[in-house]
Amino acid sequence: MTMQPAGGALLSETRPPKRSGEPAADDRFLRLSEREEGEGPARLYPLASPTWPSKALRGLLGLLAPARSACGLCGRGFAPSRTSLAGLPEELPRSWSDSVCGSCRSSIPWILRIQCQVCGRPDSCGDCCRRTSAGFIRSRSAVRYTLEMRQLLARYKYRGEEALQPWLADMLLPAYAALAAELRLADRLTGRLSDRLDPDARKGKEPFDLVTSVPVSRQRLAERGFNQAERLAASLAVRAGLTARPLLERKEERGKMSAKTRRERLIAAEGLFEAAPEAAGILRLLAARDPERRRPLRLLVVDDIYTTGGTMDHCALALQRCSPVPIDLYGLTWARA
Amino acid sequence: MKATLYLYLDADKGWLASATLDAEVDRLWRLDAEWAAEAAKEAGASPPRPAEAMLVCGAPLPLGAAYEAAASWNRHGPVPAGAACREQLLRASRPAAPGGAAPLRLPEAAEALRRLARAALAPDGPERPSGEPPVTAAMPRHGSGGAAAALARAACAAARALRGRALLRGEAQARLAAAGAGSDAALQLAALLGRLRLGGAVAAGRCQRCGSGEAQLLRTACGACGSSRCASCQACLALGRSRECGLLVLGMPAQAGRGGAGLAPPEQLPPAAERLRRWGLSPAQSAAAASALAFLERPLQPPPALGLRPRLAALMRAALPSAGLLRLPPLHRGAAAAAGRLFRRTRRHKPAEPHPSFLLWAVTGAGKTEMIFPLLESVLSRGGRALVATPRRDVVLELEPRLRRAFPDTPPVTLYGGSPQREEDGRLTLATTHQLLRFRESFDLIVLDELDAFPFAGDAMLHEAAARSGAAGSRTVLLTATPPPSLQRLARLGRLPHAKVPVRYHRHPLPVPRLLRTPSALGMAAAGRMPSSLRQAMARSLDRGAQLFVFVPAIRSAEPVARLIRKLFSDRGEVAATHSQDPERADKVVRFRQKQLRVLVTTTILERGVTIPVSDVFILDADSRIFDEASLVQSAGRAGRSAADPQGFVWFAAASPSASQKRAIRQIRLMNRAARKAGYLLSGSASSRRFHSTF
Ligand SMILES: [Zn+2]
Ligand SMILES: [Zn+2]
Ligand SMILES: [Zn+2]
Ligand SMILES: [Zn+2]
Repeated sequence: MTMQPAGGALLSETRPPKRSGEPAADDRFLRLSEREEGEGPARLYPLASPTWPSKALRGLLGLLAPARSACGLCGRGFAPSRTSLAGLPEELPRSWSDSVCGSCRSSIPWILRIQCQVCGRPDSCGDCCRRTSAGFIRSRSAVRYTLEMRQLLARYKYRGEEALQPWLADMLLPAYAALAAELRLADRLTGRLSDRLDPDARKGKEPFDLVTSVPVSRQRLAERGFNQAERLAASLAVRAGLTARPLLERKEERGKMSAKTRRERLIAAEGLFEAAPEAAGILRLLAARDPERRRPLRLLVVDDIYTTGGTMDHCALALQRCSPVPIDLYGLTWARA
Repeated sequence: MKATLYLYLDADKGWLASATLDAEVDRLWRLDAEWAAEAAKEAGASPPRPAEAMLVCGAPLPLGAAYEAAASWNRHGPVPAGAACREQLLRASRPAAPGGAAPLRLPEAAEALRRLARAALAPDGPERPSGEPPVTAAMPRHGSGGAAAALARAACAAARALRGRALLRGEAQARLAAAGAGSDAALQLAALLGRLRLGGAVAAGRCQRCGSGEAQLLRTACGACGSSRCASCQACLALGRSRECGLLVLGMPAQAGRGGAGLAPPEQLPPAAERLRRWGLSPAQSAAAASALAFLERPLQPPPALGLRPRLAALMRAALPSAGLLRLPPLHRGAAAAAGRLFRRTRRHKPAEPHPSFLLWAVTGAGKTEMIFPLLESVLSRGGRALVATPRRDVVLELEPRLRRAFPDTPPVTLYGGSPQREEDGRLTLATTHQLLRFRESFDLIVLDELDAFPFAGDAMLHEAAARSGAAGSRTVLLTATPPPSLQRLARLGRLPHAKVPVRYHRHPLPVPRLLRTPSALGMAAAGRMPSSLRQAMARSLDRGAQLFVFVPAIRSAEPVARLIRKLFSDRGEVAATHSQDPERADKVVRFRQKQLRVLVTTTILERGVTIPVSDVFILDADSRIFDEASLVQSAGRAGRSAADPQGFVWFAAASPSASQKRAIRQIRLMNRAARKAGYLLSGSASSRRFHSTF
């Protein structure tokens, strides 16, 4: 609660005396910039007399109709009880399927089966054989980057519809669960007998030690107000019971990534990222927390789109360079171009 | 973005707080008398009284927080607003109190500023451990003149270019870039000169651009200002993000006439009848335009006596001058009472009266655009600013060349999402209704076309934006073929002046829709056949050479129905289906206009705007809720538009005759009757009507 009356925020404190010729800030102006409590909005035409009987009737009808809510992605009204859950990955929380309408759901191209074990591409992949240096071990993505997904992401990222964020972040969960399951399986296969009996491993402890994200430049952050990858990472960490920390910094960009060719992007990404000053310390602390661990630290790098893998790779290399302890890096992105 | 908070010592008022985009400009203005005098002289203003001292907070604050803190200081004294500080409010005396205590000494003032800044950084929580915000005393330096005149010129240019506008920082900069006046320093000096207002785009729990309240605000951690709960408005995102730490620039009201003399009186113009003649209107158009013109040129009337409810509200306000206090928890009553005087000071405004408006109810195909020409002419020729706004972009694109032809001396500035003309200025503006969010007290006449169309209909934000874009004393003309029920009621009750145009420009009656009983569209499509009545009606229309509009209520019915028609009338030309999600929609409409398509199956998206000379209309599932009275009247209005084929046929095909269908038919019949009674129909049209009804 604040002691200020509502409105009046633009009430300027600098009010020079009125002068002839130029009208000074007069009351007419003030009336527009502030609105009193209890005062209705400016109206285009007189208010029609209320039609209470029909309003009451509408209320009554509303009670009889199935509950409707606004879709979290498109905003259109729909009845959650009437839509089926068929075709949805089962790791999606119930709150997600209750908040997204059938038509939005059916437009989401989930990546359920992958072809390339390295980059998680759902169809055959030429990129991964071309790579010479591998900073990360595997990367997985939630959806294919179709036109609809591109538009959805653009609404969040560029238009700034931050209300979309929880629904987009939830969409990472199926891909995350699949990656975690792969790693748990690998742990069990390679681990010694004692490990296999380790209660942690059997309980299915999360196989990552830390979640981090691909950074945006300071300038972009000031423009946009948020780093979409960092937000996705933070939400994922909360939902999966992990910790998220930004560990990387991005230098000022030379032109937009989206306007470049594959080769240009790979070159541009080189040297674009470096570890934050506190990253080494964080990793050292993390490693020291569990001296019994027999595998390297595992970090998950989150980003919004995986295009060529260049960004992911350079982030991974930057972390490898700074880390005082051995680390394994994995990637998770919202979309796979 | 961030802004700088500072205090300055006024000889009479004591310490006052202010926030600035550029502290250096404020320092020069307040402390350097020479610089200030030069800037003021260039701007034609009198110089400010020099401040006796100035203290600047060295750590910039999130912009919204800085402006709020300054306003709070000036209102309540040197105590930051916030729950922790209520006790202090009781004890603190306002430094500006006339005859009160002497102003704080410099170190005390510095400490108070530090406290204010700290509270602004962490509004509710405990104080931040991150150390004290540094405060420095700004020193008067002399002889920094020279640049003053140039900056003052830029400030005046900025103020001129932003008259009647409400723009975010980026928009203002883009608009001012051409004049070289887009710098923060120029904006800041214009604000100091009192010719602009600067503030957070979201402030006091409300989006200051679109007026949306808390329900539309989303508070998130913000990388631009560092606040962990920076509010941004979700309602007006389409026009760029309005947020707490974003700057909103409000210009002064736009001025009509030469040098702001206001609208010239209508007596200077030739008589209305003479002016109307030049536009070549039909008798019905002319009669309606004449009464709209009379409304427009009538002198402003004193505000009508308050209705019962506002009167009650006024009474309440008089009886309870501090009604707002009741909302405070009892513990803080005392503190609140101390502040009561200050609250009351800002509680003087009456609820905003709407600008006078006039409803022009013109049937589909009446030629409503021609009717607005004399209205625009009246305002433009008197030196005023006129706006034609419509919810739909394609209508803007269609009107643009017609307005350009009608008013070659004041070509319209055309604004829509992605339009190229954004930085231009002119006295005639043509825009989509969303663009009105960027205007404030700007127009003397607002013509609102198709106010019942999406997205304007039912969007309170856009209604408010339209209302606020009117200058003091402006008039609004609402233009539609299908006024929403609330407007119809206002017109009936005599609370909304209006004129009806019951006849089309070609002076033939509107085709009256006929009812057909058929199964549902999807049912017919699934069965692969239609009842012979519908089939024969379609065959007859195709036989007479008409193109067919087939309306369906849902996207999913469009393609199946098109397939069915393709199958049943395989030799009659091409059939296509379109809807809002169809990427080829524009292309299909073009092909339909060019007669390459014979039949177009569509959802309600084409119920307005697309006019085909020889066309018949079939509305399938006419009993669907999607087809309300207005939608049916609009869709029916696609038929019989040209003088060469004024009849056309309209069929409502449905399993049952719904109330909406009956009301739509009644509305069309009433309009035809009114047209006949007024003698607007051509004499020949009676016989064709007979043919129509015996058909
Ligand atoms: Zn949806
Ligand atoms: Zn691959
Ligand atoms: Zn807003
Ligand atoms: Zn912010």
